[in-house]
Amino acid sequence: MRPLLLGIVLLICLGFFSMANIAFGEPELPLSEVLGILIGYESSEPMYSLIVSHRLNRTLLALFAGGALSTAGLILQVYFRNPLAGPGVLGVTSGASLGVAVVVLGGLSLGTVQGDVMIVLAGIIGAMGIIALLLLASKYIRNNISLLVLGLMFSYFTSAFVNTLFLGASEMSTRKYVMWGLGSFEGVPMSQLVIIIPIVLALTFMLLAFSKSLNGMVLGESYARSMGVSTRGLKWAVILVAGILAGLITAYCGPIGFVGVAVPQLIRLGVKSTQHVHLIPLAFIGGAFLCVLADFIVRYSGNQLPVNAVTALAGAPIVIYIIFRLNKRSV
Amino acid sequence: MKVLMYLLIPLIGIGCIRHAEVNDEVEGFDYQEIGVSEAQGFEINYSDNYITLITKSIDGNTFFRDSLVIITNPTFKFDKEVKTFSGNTESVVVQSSTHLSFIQALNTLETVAGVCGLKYVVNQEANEVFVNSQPKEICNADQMAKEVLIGLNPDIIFSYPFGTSGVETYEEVGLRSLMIAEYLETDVISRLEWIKLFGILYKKENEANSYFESVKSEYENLKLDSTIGFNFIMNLPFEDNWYMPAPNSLIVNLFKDAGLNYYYEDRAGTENILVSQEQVWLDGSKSDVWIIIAQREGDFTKQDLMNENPAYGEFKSFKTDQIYFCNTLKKDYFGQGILEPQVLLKDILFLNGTLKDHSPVYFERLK
Repeated sequence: MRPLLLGIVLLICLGFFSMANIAFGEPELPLSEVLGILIGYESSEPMYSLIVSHRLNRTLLALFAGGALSTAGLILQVYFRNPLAGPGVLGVTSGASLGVAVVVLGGLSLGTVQGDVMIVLAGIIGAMGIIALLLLASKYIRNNISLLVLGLMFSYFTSAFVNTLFLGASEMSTRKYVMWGLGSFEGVPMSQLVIIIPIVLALTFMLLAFSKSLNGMVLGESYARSMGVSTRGLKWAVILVAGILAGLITAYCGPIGFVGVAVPQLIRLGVKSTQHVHLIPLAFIGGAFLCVLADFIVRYSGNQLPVNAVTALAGAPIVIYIIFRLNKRSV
Repeated sequence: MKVLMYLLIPLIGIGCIRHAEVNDEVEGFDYQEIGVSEAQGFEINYSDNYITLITKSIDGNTFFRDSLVIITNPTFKFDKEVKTFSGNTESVVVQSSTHLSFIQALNTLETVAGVCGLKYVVNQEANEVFVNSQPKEICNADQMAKEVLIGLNPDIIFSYPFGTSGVETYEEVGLRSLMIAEYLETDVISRLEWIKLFGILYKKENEANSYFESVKSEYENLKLDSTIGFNFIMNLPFEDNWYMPAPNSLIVNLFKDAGLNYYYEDRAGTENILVSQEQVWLDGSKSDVWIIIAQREGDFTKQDLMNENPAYGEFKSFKTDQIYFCNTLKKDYFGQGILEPQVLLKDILFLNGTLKDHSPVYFERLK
């Protein structure tokens, strides 16, 4: 009952803030016009239609980006058996950023940041590369904290590499990369969203098929094996799903922090369940809600706040709480 | 012992008294007095033994004030805290490429020993001179490379008053700097007048003065006193925000001199106006002219602009071919443009149909 209740509450909040994000903002449009355009009526003012579709696109991107990052965080936490794991903490987002930096600062970009196939591919490859390295390292490093520190080291390394790339980059590339690094859900057209959304949905549903294996992994790799879980198959699923989800979203939206680590933890606290058939959809909806809410706050700050700052303000206290909780448990 | 203490204390006190500096290495020189007629950001004050250059903020901007005293009489003694200069400018460091323009106009580019953002200098003449003079890059990302600066030991560092200038540090390590904020002026002629300040530092005040007067005269003859009825918006967004210049900014006043009305004229303040992208879309659908000063690679067209955002296709200026574009990647708008405000004005007058025989230099109609 509890997962269902939480799911309903989150869906209502998500629906409310998604609508608010489309209906309100500068310029103020008549609500009747916004609703009319959303259900397919022609507006008397052509620019109104463009504004509503612009708001709709960024809301949809925020929704699916949040869902994807949170889901990626959830499976990383399960696989590495670490509640502090997430795309940002483990260096996966940095790997994606490195991929994007190589293309943008290295002059391999084919066009604008959003919509450039090279950038998206580089982002995904970078993210998957870091996950693969972490999985390889996890064979030798059993300690969870050491693995997190390793993730941080990867982040430092990639940041240093990006800084080196800056030295040889043109002024335009540098500006483009810096703008991308601020993080935003703005500017991705529907033609790109129709590619992003099915990928995110397909990977999330694919994960649902692995929910029993993930349940087994919660109790450890040996236990999972004794339950007949193919840990090797699961490992590849984790690389594939978390890498594509985190890489894809980072390439389009820039590095969005804390969603992947904080939301899955909040959901676990909320439902007190280890059943991933519940946790996966709830983490998705929770992440979607946080990012839509963050975008709503960004727009209401007159776009003065970067998305990263808002997600950090919400996510950092949760992470700190988890650290205290873990410490209490170990004491 | 006590007696010794009583004797020592006054001696220590005498040792701490600041002595005035004697300028043994300075030679006196003759100069022509010139005045400042338009610019609000600097002053030139003449005294019997020295010339004081004062640079300062303009009303409404964040406060700053700097000064440099050029010694004209070597026998005159100054207090140690006064920032003095012999007037022999042989080596300078510039923090902005706009400073290079003034130096170029006075044919003294070979004195440039260091530049911040050397690889971004688009000034062709400067780059040709730099092939031989080999100035150093003095910025490392957004920080000043202090060791390089100390190594260069320039006569003067022309610095920004805000941001990364690190002026206190220059003084601490014995380097002489002068804050330059020509970009805070509210019109292009006032900005050009800063050439006089550089003229004094290079002992070319007459040359600087006559250049300024001739450009000013040409500009005044060209500028329109009344509007031609078109209103305009400016530039392109940064992420979801569109920064429009303040109504009384230098750039807006240039276009007003070409007879255009600013769409955001009623907005208050001296800082850039932050407008949401969606609001500008709505305003752009009503505004007659769209002036874009931006960097774009290749031959940028209207189609390229629409590829960046389909909403631009609904702009009135897009439909009526009234987009005036200055590609700063190809045109030295931020450099040579400072020295040629009359050419900038002619470009806009030509594009809005007021001036006939002219070939645009900086701005073009986007097609």
